[in-house]
Amino acid sequence: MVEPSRRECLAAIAGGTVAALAGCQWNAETSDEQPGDGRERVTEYEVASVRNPDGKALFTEGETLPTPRETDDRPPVYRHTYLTSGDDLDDVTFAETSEARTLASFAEATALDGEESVYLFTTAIQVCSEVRLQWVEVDASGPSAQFCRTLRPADVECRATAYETTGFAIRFPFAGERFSGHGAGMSSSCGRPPRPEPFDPTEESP
Amino acid sequence: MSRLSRRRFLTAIGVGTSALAGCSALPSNGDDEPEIDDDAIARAIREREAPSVPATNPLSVPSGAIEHHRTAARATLERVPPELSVPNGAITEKLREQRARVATELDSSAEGAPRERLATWRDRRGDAVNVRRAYEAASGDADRGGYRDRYDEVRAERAAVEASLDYRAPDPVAATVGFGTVESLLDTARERLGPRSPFPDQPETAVFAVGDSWEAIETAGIETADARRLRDAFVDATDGTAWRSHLAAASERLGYSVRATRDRVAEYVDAEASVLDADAATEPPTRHLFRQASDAVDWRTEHANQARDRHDHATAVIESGRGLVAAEALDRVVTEIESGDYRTAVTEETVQSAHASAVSAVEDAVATTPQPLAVALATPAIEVLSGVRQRLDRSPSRIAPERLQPRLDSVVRYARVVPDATAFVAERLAVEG
Repeated sequence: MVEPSRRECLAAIAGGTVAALAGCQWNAETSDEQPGDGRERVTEYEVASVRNPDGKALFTEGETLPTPRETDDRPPVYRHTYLTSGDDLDDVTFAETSEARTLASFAEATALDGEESVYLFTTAIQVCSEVRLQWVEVDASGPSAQFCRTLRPADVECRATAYETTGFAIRFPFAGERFSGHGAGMSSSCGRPPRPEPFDPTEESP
Repeated sequence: MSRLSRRRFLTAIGVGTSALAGCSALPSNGDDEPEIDDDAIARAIREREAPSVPATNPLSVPSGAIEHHRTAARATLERVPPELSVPNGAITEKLREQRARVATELDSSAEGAPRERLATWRDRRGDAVNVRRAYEAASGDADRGGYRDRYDEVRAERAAVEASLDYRAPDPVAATVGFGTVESLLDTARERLGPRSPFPDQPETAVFAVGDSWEAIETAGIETADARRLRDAFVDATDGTAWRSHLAAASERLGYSVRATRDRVAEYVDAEASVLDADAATEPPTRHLFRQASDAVDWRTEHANQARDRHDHATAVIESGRGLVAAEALDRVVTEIESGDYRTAVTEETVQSAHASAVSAVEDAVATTPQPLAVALATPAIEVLSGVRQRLDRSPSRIAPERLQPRLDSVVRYARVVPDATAFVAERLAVEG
């Protein structure tokens, strides 16, 4: 399993994803990796997304899933991991819910160990809001996903203070063994369109 | 209401990105450099009076204009119930908060000179429109057809007012300064009507974007109406001559002057300090001073060209004048740096002294006659000083002295050229014979 990278941590900071900072242990003094260097948009990916109305965790990288509190507080369910092998998948524990099974099945159907890799992401979200995947990029250190948070339609009946859990599984058309990290960003608005790409017809996807 | 208000937008533009960046990073002091007390600098600058700038714009705000905005804003907000409710609880909360905030705004008076107060009330009307239209969208009543019709209507109104400007004023300087303000309003309205504000495809999924879209076009309409009001009041009060073709010719000639003046310093425009023949070119204050002087030429001449392309003759004259100032200031900055006369030491005293010099230089500049033109040409320097002040008011502990000092130095260099450039432009605006 690949450790969180400096880029991931920077993306988490930029996106305001405080929970991600707990796993950030890169050495800022010695790293020469710069965020944004050589990033390319990935277009050939597949994605599955789910919402769990009970606010329960969908997966964890250990054996014990976090237990949601019996209050309106934001549930402690922020996880993300990048799986590049069957062993990585074995280390993940999925919850016994249909939403978690959807993510598990998606990961199991991925050709790990050589051809494909999969990124799993889950976070708590207000019932009145939703998380959307905006785009996926990759650079020399690994893939990163950019998510955004937006309000659900005005006619959706919901309580402002209640939370749910949402999860994403993204299947990449490349193996991930060579990468040193992975990243995610969360924008507080989905209104901004994706960053325009430069025109370069000679460019090949990694 | 996620967009910048007109005033904040104009302030950011007026100050320029380098000014905003000027306080963004704290340079580290090496062991051999004296510690600088940032708080003392901020305190000293904030305690000083801003430069005294005479009110020279010939436009006056017609009586009743502000009351008209206040009444219209309240009527708009009354269409939104204070205890509104839609199924989505988070949207309900946000709309209620916005409505309450706008209601508080509408109950308070605006500050500043009459035209500033008028601008504040335009913004407030826009805020009220935003809440009303977002609420309608949340209630399933988004009026897409009405939006399209209103967009076309405002665009046509704006174009009609623009086409009708004949620059009637007592003299060419008054026409330049007065109609420069009118053009500026119409230009801001034009930008609001640009393709950045498409109406959301599914209004109920983007109620606040619906509010923003409506706010943009209605504010453009309000700006257009104010442009007409200010113009009519000015023309009615003065019974002057139409200077349209005169200003068009003057702006064309000044365009040549700007190009020729810029050619004189072409190698230093949009360049780094490394092009300079000076040992001090690598020191941060020198680099920043040079970069600001260099960028200003690029920025001002580009603005002048754009105004000329839009046929905004008054704005083109003013921006050309500012371009002349910027080009000559750059020339002097290059000479000053290469001759070793630019001081690079940064201490509490030098920063405070730079600020005092900037205030004096601006006050000297705006004392030049014809004063309305001098103030118009000096405005970029005035706005840098007010931008520095606002920045310190917001974040008094975040000063970057090695950037702030050259920024203030650039104000001094710019302002000192204003009197000569004012005379040059005034001569070209004068009626021959």
